[in-house]
Amino acid sequence: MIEILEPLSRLPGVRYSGLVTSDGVPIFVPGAEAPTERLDLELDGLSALASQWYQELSRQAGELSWDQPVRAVLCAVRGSLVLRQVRGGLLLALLEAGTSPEELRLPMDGAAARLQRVLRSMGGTAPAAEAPPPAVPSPGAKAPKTQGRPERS
Amino acid sequence: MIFRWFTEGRLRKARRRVANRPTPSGYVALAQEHLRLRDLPGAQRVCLEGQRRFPGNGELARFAARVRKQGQEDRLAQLEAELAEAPRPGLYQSYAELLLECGQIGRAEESAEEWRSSTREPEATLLLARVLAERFLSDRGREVGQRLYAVLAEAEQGLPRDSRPHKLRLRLSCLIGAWADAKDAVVRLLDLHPGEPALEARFRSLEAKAAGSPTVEQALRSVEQSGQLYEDVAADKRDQAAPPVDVRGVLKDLAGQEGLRAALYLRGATALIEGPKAATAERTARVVRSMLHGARSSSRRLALGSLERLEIEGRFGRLMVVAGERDAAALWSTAATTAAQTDALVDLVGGEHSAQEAA
Repeated sequence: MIEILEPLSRLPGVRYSGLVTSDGVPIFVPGAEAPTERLDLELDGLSALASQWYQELSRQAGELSWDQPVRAVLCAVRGSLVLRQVRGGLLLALLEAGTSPEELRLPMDGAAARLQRVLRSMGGTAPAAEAPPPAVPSPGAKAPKTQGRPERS
Repeated sequence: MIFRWFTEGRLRKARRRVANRPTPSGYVALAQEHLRLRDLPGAQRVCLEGQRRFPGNGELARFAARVRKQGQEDRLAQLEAELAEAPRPGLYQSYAELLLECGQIGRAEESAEEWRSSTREPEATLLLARVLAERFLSDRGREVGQRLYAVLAEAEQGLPRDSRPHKLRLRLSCLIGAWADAKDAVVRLLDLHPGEPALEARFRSLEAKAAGSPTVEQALRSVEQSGQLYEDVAADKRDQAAPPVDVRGVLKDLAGQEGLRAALYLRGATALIEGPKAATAERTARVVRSMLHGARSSSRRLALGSLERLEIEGRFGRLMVVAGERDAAALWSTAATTAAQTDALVDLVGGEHSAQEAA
């Protein structure tokens, strides 16, 4: 994980990059200019607040029958927060003021794809809510009711 | 030499173009030529003239702000050099004030803190309190507010015969609605200026409000939760009575463009929306408002300062919200948002304000 997050943190203007897994475990890599004091406290708070905000956004998007946002950006006077949904977690980057979140789009998309590959190779299954529906009914599952003529085999 | 000769030729051409057919773009081009010759006052004069001729033009206002920023950065560099050579109180003060003017509150705080720790002068403490006040007004976070009041108390002790710390406390306490604390500040001001009619009138009005008013701590917590100062609440109530009139046209233009599903403008309890109709319009406005509220609150809690922009993307397309101090404009599109559309939103929420500032 760290080797996927490190290149993101090395980008100019990135204060922290990290991954918050769906069970709330934060993995962070500080950027070159990140303050070292109270790092743990800061990162715990950051991951909790970012996840909470994303969940709130997803709930609000649901009210408009929208899917969960794939990317969310919060730009403020003293910096920006960029979130990118990945299967089984949330990739995030905290940027310095003056850094454009658009500059992180491609690197974050790349990191998200690599993270998903790693999670797949580790055998980590995605949470049920985020996993794509199975292509064929699993064995033992009740056959769906069909109307009309049955297909010929 | 050759560069200068070419640039002066271009300057003459730009001047003639503005004289023959004055347009906002012509003024911007002329100001750019002045900047190329490093003639900052000339560029500022051209911007001012253009803004007088085309008041409220977004392109000119943005360029004027850029020119002003350039001037401030030059002055900052000069002050930094002087401070490195021979630091003195007047320089620290000018430097921190200029940083505040540029909106670089973090650097202003560092500078004021450095001055305070090196000299322990009460003036430095007061300057730090002023910087923290700006930061609090921008972020509205409780922790900053608590630190501000602590530093302010220190400044009051260090400058007992000076009315400035008490005036700052009065202003802040009135903004957060801590009326009892504001009344105490007026009492101290009356000690310094006995019998002043304006202060006596203020004392009487605050005395009526002070009974049962929240403490500073309670008021700070309430400001952090709502993100609104007492003055904002009053202004929002006034705004509801007179919604903006020229916004609808801009929203219609935007909503008519290809790939755009909805264009919104939110201010106080008013929401103007183009695109969706009836119940869908209402629901969209309500959800965008709640997203904006959540983002403002998260921004403060993450110590990132006041929200400027919110963007979300997904299978539904892209929602972009540009947030002003008291209003916001939003676009929901199925295609990527263009720079012109973003500029239109920025002008909608902050155009009037930035034009005034630049003038």
